[in-house]
Amino acid sequence: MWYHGAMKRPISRFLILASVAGLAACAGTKASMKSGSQSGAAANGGAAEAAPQVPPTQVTEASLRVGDFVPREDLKTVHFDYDSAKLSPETLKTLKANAEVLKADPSLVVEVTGNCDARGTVAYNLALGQRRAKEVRDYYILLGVDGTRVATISYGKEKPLCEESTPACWARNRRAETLARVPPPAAAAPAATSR
Amino acid sequence: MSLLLAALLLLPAAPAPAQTTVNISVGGGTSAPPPVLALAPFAALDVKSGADALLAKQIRDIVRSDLMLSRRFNVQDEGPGLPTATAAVWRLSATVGREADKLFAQVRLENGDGGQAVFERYYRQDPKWLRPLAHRISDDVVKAATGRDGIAGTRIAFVNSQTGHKEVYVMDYDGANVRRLTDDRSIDLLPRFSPDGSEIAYTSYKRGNPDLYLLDLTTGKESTLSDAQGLNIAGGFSPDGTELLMTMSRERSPNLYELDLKTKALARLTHYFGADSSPTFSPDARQVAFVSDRSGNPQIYLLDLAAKSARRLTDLNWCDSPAWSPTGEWIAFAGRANRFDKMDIFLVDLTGSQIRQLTHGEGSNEDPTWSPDGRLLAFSSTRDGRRRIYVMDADGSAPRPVADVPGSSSTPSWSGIRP
Repeated sequence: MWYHGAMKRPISRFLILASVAGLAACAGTKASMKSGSQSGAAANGGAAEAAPQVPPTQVTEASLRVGDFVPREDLKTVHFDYDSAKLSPETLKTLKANAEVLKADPSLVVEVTGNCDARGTVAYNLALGQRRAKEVRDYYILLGVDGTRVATISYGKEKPLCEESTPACWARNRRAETLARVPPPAAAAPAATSR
Repeated sequence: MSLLLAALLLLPAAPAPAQTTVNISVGGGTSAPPPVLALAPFAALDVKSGADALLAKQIRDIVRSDLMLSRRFNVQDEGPGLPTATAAVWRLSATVGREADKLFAQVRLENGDGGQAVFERYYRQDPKWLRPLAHRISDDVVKAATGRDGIAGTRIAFVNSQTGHKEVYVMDYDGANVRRLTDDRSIDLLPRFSPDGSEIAYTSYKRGNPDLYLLDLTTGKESTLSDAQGLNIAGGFSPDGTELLMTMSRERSPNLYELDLKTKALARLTHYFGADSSPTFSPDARQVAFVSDRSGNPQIYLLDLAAKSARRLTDLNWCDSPAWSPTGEWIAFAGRANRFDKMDIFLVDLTGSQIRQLTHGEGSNEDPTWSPDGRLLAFSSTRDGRRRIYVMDADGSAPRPVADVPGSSSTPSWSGIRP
């Protein structure tokens, strides 16, 4: 069909791309940016293909499919402003403390959950929750935590802690939790697969 | 014109938007008042059989409801004690009953004046398919009278929480036959009907990650469409059903992808460091409407697939979950004009210059989905407390809840017309 051809790539190539380190991935993405960008695009509020800022955080995540992830007292939850994935100074302080816990125990694998308040649609909040989780993971990596020990998951507005339509409840739900992996009973044994 | 006028009159608290162009009928139909259809009593095949009389009444009730929901007719009942409909353009009559072990119906559509039959048909059906039979009669009448395909056989998929988990459900477009399709006991989200209504794509967390599944409604079998770690969310199917738009994060920011359902080849459509989501095809599959926060708050953008360029369409405080009308002229979305407003359903044309507000602060209104004839919109709303599915005319008039399902219902997706 008319829009097939060059744009189509098999899934496997994406997997490879995702696993190469920063520079290569960056170059690859930029090249495809260029071919995709059009003159009129920039005039239209950012356009389709603004050049991405690829952080040096693109190492493969820990798998979400092994073991369960549970709260730990020394891994604190952080909160966000409305419709924002920005990390506040207070949040950065909390995440630094969390990162120290992670660095002190190299066997610890965590899942960062991104959550939103009830306003906005299901789909938009899933995307926003993903951004929140990713911001937290990127910051852990910046602080020296091995990115392969950190997974991200977005729950959007699907896992609220409270359901009232109040500013206090909304603020409580806009959060990223850092949960620790509890390996399945037969931890290293290959027989123990995902649930 | 009269549609719009009616819409304006019906909307008490709505401040009329400051714009000049108004005389466009939303939904692709004409804006003249619908023709009068005189609906005669349906006769019992065996006049002495109470069972036949009951069947005739059941079929007639469903057909009557379908014809009214179609918004294509001004349905006027005829019968003992009722005056003959005036200025009838159409007159519909039928004879219904049991014949051996089958349900039998003889249906006749006549011109209102001369009594000349424009459509006559005999139906024989297993009695357990009474509702589908009635819907079939309704669609045949719509087709004979207007030349258009009816939607009486369509269904709506949605998510409901009554079991304590979010599962995927489906119901007939009129709210009958609500049934649960999944038993995942997890979080199931955002079901999308394939155009022919035979499959539903949906996201589930049942295997620890929001993976995308395809449920075949004919066989009941489910397959995994996409399970890369991160978001795997269905956008719209292409009108021919061969492609599925998706939002995937793939350990980065959520961006738009297009999945070829036959070859499983995946094409990335956007490269953006923020969040792109909720892609939906134009009816000609040349463009994709989607949501992006690239300018700050979420707005609707249009991506031209050939030129690979995107342009911003909306400029309200918040614009989300676009749905392209089957006629191509409008994009329905959930949005709000001011930061502290609740979400409402809007329409925007493809230039972005015309905006219609269809709901007006009655609860939070989200996730619009078009009927395949472009005349109705289903959406979710909290106007009566818990979130439920509603249907309204495409000009915003006559909103009504569909089915009374316990728990919270969200993210409706309307099927296409079964070929």
